[in-house]
Amino acid sequence: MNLNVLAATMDHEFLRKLPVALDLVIVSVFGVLAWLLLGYVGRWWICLLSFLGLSVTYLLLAFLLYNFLGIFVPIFPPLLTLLACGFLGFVAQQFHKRSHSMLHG
Amino acid sequence: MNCGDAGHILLSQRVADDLVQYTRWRSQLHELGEVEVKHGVRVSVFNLYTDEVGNPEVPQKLRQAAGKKPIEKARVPVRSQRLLATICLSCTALVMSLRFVPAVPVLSHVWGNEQALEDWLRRTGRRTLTHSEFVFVAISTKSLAGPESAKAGKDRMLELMAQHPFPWSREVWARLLNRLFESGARLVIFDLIFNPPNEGDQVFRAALDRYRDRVVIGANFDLENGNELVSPNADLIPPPAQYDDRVGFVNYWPDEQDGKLRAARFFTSHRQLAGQKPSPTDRLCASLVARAMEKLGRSNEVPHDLQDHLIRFSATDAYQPYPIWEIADPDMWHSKYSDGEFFEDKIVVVGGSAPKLLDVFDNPISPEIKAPL
Repeated sequence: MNLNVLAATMDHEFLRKLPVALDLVIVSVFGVLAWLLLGYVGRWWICLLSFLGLSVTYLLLAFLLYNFLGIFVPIFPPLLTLLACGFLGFVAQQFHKRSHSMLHG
Repeated sequence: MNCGDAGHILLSQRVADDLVQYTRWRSQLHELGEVEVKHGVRVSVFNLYTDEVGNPEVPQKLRQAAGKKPIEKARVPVRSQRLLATICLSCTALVMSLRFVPAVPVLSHVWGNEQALEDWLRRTGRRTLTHSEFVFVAISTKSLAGPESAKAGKDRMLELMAQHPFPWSREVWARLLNRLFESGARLVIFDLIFNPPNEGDQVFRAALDRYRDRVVIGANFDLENGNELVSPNADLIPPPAQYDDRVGFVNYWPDEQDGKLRAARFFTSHRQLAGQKPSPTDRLCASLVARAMEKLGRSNEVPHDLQDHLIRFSATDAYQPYPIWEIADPDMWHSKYSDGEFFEDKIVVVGGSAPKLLDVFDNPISPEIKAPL
């Protein structure tokens, strides 16, 4: 450890985790993004691509933040929020649409 | 439907739901609200019009109906929007709340997996650059075995190493310091604790005094024994040794969750180690690395607090061990180290690499990282 620590200290290579509050803000931002995509992107395949694109972009961002700024951002919870909201929202939307059309023609 | 006037194109909810998926039609759809049709059935009605076709006026029948909804551009229907908002809000709130209840079975993995992902970033992401000026002089298995009898007479260091098993006479370390500093080494860091008095202490003490601005040795807080300090003996460093600027503690505090080392602490106090709140008046003990940085004239780059600081690890194979017997052996000293030229301006860490010394830390990078590395 000593040489690793000495090298990191000499190069100021310290890593940081975000405060818990900021972790939660990121999760909530992903919740809002999921809602916006579901509500305002009309075609389902564009919506799906947006979800995937957003996930990949965020993963890339997390990697870059670690590499260049030494910051750990939460990865799994925000992506889980996005994808769970997306999946459940999509299912609910379809269910709602079908039940509505059965009632009202 | 018989509720439209001339030119009206009225659509049911179902048709509107299909059309709203298309940007081209979305802006042309206008929700009119519910209207009663045949047999008392109520349906949601949308008015489709553009500048060229359709009729933008609200149908007379609807105008007469009580509780008319204001005309608005249709997106995803309002009730569906509310449903989506509820789902998104619930999912988000659930994930957020799991941050504070780490003991829930299965669900605790939502945040619990973050450590594994961070370790993955540590392994696959950028590493701290390898410092070519660092040299690891290792007490290797072969060094511990002692030199061959034929070679033992060639050099006093080899002779001392052959005399009895490790720990050798401390004259070995004094001679090592002479050899390294005469070759131009910048700093020598011993990741060793010279606690019990031993043969050769006086010679080693003289060397430590002679090179006091260029040498650092270890002390250890015995965390399993009430944080008792194991420091260099009084023959080497006058007590209290922990405050001598040549002595730094070698402890690292592992992660409480999984016992892995990810961080370094540069200063600590007895009060902190006892689990009490540190006070600004506490006399601080410095780590081996903090002392080394001090000797290098870079102490201002060390975080002056009692916190653990996460570090970016170097590459696993960044620092190869150079066995100490090679330095003691005149032939190797000449052929491999160019009579010491190799050590010019180097920062040398001396420590154990032999498995027998059990000086290996669990860490997120590799099971092979030994204490001095």
